[in-house]
Amino acid sequence: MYLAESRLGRHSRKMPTSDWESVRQLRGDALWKDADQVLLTRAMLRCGLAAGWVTLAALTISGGAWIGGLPMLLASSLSLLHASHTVVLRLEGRLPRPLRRLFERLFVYPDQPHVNWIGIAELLGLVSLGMATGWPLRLLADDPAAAAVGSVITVGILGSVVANTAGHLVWELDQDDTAPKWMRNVRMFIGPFGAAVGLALLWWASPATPARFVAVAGPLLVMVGSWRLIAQVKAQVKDMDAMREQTIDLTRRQDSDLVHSALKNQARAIMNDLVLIPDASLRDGVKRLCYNIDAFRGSLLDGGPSNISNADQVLQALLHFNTEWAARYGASVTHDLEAADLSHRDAGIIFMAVSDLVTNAAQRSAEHLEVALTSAPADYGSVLNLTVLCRCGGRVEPGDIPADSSLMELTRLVYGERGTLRIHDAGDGSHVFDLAWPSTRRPRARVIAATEPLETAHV
Amino acid sequence: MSKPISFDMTPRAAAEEDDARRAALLSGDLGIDIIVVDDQPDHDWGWFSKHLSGHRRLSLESVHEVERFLAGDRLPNLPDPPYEAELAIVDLSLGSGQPDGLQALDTLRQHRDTRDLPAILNTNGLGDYRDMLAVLAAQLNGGAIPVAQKSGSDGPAVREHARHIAHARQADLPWPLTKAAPKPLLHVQEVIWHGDKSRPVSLLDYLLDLPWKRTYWKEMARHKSHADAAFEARKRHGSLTDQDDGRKQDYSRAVTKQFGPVAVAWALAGECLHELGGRLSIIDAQLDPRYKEFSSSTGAQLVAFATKYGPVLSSQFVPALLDRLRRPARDEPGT
Repeated sequence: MYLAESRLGRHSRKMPTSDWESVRQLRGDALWKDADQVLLTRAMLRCGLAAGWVTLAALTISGGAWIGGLPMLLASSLSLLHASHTVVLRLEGRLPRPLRRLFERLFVYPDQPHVNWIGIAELLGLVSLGMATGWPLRLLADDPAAAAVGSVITVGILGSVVANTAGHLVWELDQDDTAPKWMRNVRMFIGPFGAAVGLALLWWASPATPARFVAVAGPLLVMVGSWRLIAQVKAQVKDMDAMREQTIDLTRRQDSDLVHSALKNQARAIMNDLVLIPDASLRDGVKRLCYNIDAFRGSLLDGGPSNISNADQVLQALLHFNTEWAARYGASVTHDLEAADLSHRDAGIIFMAVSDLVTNAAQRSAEHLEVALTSAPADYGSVLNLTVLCRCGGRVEPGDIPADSSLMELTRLVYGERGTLRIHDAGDGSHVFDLAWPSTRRPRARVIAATEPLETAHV
Repeated sequence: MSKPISFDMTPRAAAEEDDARRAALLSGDLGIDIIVVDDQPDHDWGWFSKHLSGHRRLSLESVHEVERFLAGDRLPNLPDPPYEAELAIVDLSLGSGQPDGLQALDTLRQHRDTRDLPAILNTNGLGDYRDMLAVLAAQLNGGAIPVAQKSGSDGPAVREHARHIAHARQADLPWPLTKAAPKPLLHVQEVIWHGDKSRPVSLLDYLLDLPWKRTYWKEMARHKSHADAAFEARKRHGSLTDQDDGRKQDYSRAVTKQFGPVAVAWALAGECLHELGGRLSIIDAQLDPRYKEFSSSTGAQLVAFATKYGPVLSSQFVPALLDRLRRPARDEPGT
C-alpha cells in the first residue's frame, strides 16, 4: 500500500491546496441550512393559512364553498413535504425503483434556478384559491367579513409563495451561471406580476371596503416585500462571501507564514531574527550556516530519502554545508551504483557511512578524498563494497578508536547486517575504510561523468 | 613514515555483542530472536543494539523479505539459522512506494508459524495518518497492540517487554497478543464507535462496511470535495445518473449525517484515535470539558477527518483487510 501523497498537488508539505472547493461547499451548506429552516417555516405557514381558509369557508358560507380551498391545502402540503427534505430522502430510500425515480424528479434541490414541479403545483393551487375567493367564483362574497379575511389569507399565501420564488437562495448560489441570464433577472418581476394577478382576482371578492382594501394593499405589500427580500438574500450571501474570502485569505497567510516558520523551516526562522545579532561578522556567519543547513535539509528531506541513495547523492547533499568543501571534494566519487537499484537498507548504510567518513575527512582538511561504491555478484544477490580513501595526514590505529566513536557505531551497523568494516592505514597519512555487506539486489554500476557541476546552495 | 597496518573492526563489534549477551544472561535476561521489519538498518545509530543487545536481530526491510523469510528463503543479511522468532518489531512506514508495516504485520498473522507472534509497532510518531494505521494494526492484532516510538526513552520499555515475553516463553506460558506493554509504550486499541442509535461497531467497519462508503473515501482522497464525493458514491452505488447532477446537495447532507458525528466526536476527543482507549462516542465527547471550546461545522470536521485519513481509508489494502477480518467473525456460530 502506498500512502505517501504526491507532492505535485501541494504547494507546501502536508498542506492541502484543493480545500478551497470544500470551503465553497461549506458556504453553500451554511446558507442552505438557514434557507431550509426558512422554507420549512413558510411551507408550514401556507399549510396553516390554507387550512384556515377552508375552515373559514365551512363556518361562514353554507354549501360546498370550502371545497374551493382544498387544491391549495393539498399543494401546500406537498410543498411542506418538499421543504422537509430529510423526510423526502428517507421516503425515497424506501420506495421501489420506478417510484423512486419519480420522487427524484418531483423533489429536487439543486443549487441553481430550476423547474420545480411542486412549486408549479402550488402556484396552480394558489391561482385556484384566488379564483375561489375573487374572480370568477367569489365563494365568500355572501359574507363581506369572511371575504375580507379570505382575501387576507390569500394575500398571505401569495406573499409566502412570492417570497419563496423571488427570494430563493438558488438565485445566489448559482455562481457558475449555469442558468440562463434572463432567469436571474426575472425574479425582480415575480413580485409585481404576483401582485397584479392577486389584485385582478381579489378585487372581485366583495364590493365591501375592507375586502377591497385588502385586495389593493395586500398585493402592494407583497410587491414591495419581494424586492426587499431579494436585497436581503443578496446581502446575506454577500456577507457570507466576504467571510469566506477573509477565511481563505487568513488561511493562505497563515500557510505562508507556516512555510517559513520554525515548524517547517528552522533555518528561515533563525534568519528572520538575524537582526537581533549586533555583531556583523557573527551575523554573517550565522546567516551562512543557516543557508547551508537549509540547503542540506532541502536535499535530504524535500527531495525525499529516495533521492539520496548512492554515494554521490549523499556526498553532494553533505557538501552543501560548506562551499569550500564542495569545491574541494565535490568530485570525490570515483565509482558509484545506480540509486534506483539499491534497497532502502543499502541506501541507509551508504548514507550513514559516507556522511560520517566524509565529514570526518573534511573536518581534518584531508588533501585527498576518494569514495568508491561497487558491487560484486553473489548467488543471493551481490556484495556491496564501499571504500573511502582519506589522506588527512593522520594515522588510524585499532587502539585509538574509542567505543563511543562514530566509527564504532558504523562498525556495529554494518556488523548487524552481516557485513564487515576493515581499515587499511598506509602509514603515509592516508587510510582506506573498507565496508562490505551482502545485499539481495544486483545494482548496476553508474557511469561517473568527468566533471559534474555541483548544485549551488539555494538561497 | 609509519608501518602500514590493516585491521578488521568487525570482531570488536562481535565481541561487544557477545559480551552484551552474556551480561544479559547473567542479569536474568534470555536472548530471543526478534524479527525487525524496518526499511532502515538499525536506525538511530543502533537503537536495537543499544536497547536489545542481548537478543538476535532478524532484520527484514520489506514485506517481500518477510514473505521470503517465512517461506524459508535464506537472506544474506540474517544471522545463521535456525531461527525461533518470539517477538516482531514492525515499523509502520517501509519507504515510499512500498507496502507498509501493516501489510508486514498481516503477512506475519497469516503465516502459521507467526500467527501468534507478539508484535510491537515501531514508529517515529502517530501524528498523521499513521494514527489510523496503528488502530488498524490493533484490530488486526486481535484488539490491541503496543506501540513504541523510535526514541531512546521507549527503548528500556521495549527491552522490558521482550524480557517478559522471553520468560513467558521459557515457562511455556501463552502470551496474549493484546497484552498491554509497560509504560511509556502506547497501548493502542481497536476503536469501537458508539453511535447514538446503532449498536457499538468497530469504527473502521462503520467507515468502510458498504461499497458506497469506500467510494466516498476514495473520492475524498482524490478530489477533497465532500459534495462531489458524496454524489459520486451515490451515483455509482445507487440509482442516480449524470443528469441528476443538481442533487449533489442532498447527498452531501445525507453523507454528512452519516459520518458527521464520527468526525465531530473525533475532533472533540482531540483528533487522536490512538489515545481514545478503544472507545469513540459522541456522548462521551460532548461530556468532555473541551466541548465548550469547540466551534466548527460538522462538514468542516468531516473534511478534516477525510483529509487526514482519506489515503488510508481509500487504499486497496485496508478494505480488503477489513473484509477478511469481518468474515471469520460472521462465520462464527452464535453462542
